[in-house]
Amino acid sequence: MSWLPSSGLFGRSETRSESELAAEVRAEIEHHLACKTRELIEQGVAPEDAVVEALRRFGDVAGIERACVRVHTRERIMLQRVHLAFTGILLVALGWLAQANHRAGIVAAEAEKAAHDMKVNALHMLGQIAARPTSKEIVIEVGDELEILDRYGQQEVAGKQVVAADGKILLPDTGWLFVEGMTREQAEQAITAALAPYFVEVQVYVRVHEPSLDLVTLDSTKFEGF
Amino acid sequence: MTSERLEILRGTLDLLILKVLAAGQAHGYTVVRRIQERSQGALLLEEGTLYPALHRLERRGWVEAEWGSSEVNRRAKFYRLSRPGRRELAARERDWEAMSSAIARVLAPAGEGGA
Repeated sequence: MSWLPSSGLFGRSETRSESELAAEVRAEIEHHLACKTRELIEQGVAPEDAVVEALRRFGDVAGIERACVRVHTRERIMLQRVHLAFTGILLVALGWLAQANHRAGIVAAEAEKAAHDMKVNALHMLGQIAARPTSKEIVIEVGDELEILDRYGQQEVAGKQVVAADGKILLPDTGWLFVEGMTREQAEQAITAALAPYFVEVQVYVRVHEPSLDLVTLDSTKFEGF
Repeated sequence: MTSERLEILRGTLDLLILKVLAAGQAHGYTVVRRIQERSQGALLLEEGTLYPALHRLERRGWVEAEWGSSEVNRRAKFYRLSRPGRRELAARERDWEAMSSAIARVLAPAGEGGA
């Protein structure tokens, strides 16, 4: 096994684009499938059957590829939001500073207008930021698992739903509901509203779990008395 | 072969991966194989599920990755344990030992080693 000379992958993961990440993950998966196929062929499995079996044992290729890419991009989105918020705060501070300088007679009337414009723009930007989820809020994404609970304990309402590729979950009675991009609280309100016509009293709570693909099967035959 | 799908404790897969990589660099396929071999076939990892975990560990800086050529003459991504990863592995092993021995004490027949 030889290491490529300084390919530069260490520490540069933040700079990779989503398409570059997807291509790398795909290459990684293809390598795994090639190894598995070869192993099965060596065990006597016919080549065409080996390919099918390798894919079966690997699981959901597309889903795993998306999950891998998201590991890297999720943090980047959060950092972008923090950066935007910081820029907005800085602009407001600059606006107020310029106004204060004007009152002291240091800046000209043109500066006041410029400061005012800056302040208005900054406040507008902050308003937009406030409407966005903060980094502490959970934003629902495709593949997340929503655990839905009802305040009144109605079992028909409670359950777990995975957000489908189109951003929707399937609710009892009501059908598909789009939840991707919502915060947890927004999803609670949307689901409660969707279910309200069908129940006398309903108030849902939602827990958001990131996709857990850690599936391990325990072979009970390996444990005596299991 | 009969098998039952059981939930394992969250983070267990990370611990298994870190432990395998402590023995040396490996690509994902080898990590799967080693987990299965070391558990003597008892832990049957759904193979693809390893990769999001590997990428998560890479993001956290516990493993480092680099592309190289593998035994099947293809480009492969090799992972190895970083220095912070070794510290994390040691901490998780201690936690695991503490928890498993606590559970063992609870499961021990009543009256053994107690009042």
